[in-house]
Amino acid sequence: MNESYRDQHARFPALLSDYLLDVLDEQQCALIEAHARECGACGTLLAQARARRTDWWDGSGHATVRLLSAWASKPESLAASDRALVERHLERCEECREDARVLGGHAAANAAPAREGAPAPANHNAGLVWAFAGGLAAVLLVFVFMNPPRAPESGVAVQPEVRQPSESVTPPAGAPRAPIAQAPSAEPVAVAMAPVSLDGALRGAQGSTKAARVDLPSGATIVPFTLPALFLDGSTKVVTELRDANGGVLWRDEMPAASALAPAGIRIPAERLRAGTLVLRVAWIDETTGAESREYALEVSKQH
Amino acid sequence: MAEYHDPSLGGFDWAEILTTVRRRLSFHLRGWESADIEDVTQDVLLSLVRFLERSGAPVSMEGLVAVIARRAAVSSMRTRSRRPPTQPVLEEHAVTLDDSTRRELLAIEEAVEARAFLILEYFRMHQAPCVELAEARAAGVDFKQLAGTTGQSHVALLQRWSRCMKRLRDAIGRGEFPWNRPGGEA
Repeated sequence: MNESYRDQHARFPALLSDYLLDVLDEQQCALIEAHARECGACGTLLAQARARRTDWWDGSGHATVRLLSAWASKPESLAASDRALVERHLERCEECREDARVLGGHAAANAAPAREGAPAPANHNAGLVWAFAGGLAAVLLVFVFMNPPRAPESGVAVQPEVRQPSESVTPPAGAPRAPIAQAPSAEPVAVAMAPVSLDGALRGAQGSTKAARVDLPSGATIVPFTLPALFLDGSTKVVTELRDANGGVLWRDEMPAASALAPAGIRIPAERLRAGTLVLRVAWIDETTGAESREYALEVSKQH
Repeated sequence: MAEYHDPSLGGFDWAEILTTVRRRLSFHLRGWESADIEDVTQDVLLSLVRFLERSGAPVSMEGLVAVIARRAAVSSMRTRSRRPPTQPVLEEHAVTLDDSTRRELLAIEEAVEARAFLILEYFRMHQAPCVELAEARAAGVDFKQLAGTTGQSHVALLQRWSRCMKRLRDAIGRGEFPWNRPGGEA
């Protein structure tokens, strides 16, 4: 090969990754090594790369953060082949699915291929549509047959020790369903609400600059919320509290972080919400820093 | 911590980001010396800067910090666990890396990650016999160990790996493989 020293020097950083992964053939490897011996800067770079990791294959094979981030936030910015590449990978890789969920601030979670070996959606949009449709169907089923709406008890605050476990919302797998005949036929059909995203509604020391809007439709029994990304161990217990402007607790629940951080993972009975400004407080224990919490401002309006 | 004056990096509370990164790494790398955690912290901050320079602001900065910190922690733990306990630390390696060297090494690391990801996916699609070998290498299992656990010959595995790499090079040469376009470098 008649490549000049200058050409070799210019190409060295780009070829180094191929060299470290054994992609180069013997002749190219010999050129890289010869250049590293001649050029002080490139020789040092190669030595430092070798010192940093003894085997560059070790720990590889995951989608890069940039690729996952682009897929999770702006999939249309990726070429169709790259998008397909990521989606094929996500079908198999739980770790990258979780990273995509966190990077996309939950936006990607519904679109991510199904877990536990379930077939992946054909494309990004189809995944979203099916996930949303599934969510709607589940909410309707659960609340028509399992949880007939109760009359609102205005002005009554729930005591902090009163737990309303999230498990009561969704019946456990295999649990017998209440016979249809037992469903209260006179009750109005429950209205399912789209999840309210809490992104950007973080309430700081000076108060929130932007509250999440909650337009409560008439007939809604449950208000689902999607938390912004929090990097928590899935088994960490998360306590969520809904408070009014005076700090009075309107509702409280405790659940594993994996459930709370799922899309629409926080589910508050509509009867607990009041029109006006409320605060949703999310608290947990961090192993290193102790108790931590986030507060999100809500601006609630009820439709009649 | 280095100071950055790139205007595209403005608008972020870097002091808070630094605190978050340190807290996350202290959690992931429990039991590590603070100097070692600080070393990984610098890598995470530079990775964040590289991301912002190339991709702009993320949807969730908190999410980006979490993912980059976790990956850096896993990588550091893996590297440490692979180092033979008796291997002395050479003087030139013990010297604290400056920012420009760190940036160069991080660029190489990103390129390697992107390449290895593409190679594995290519093998999965087109060269099934190579998947076992690439997955073993990605899991830190060398071919000698793999030969022992699967009852195959070590030499045969090395030869197969060599053939796999040749097929990969041929595919790149024929342009069948997105080796040098932006998606491949993502």
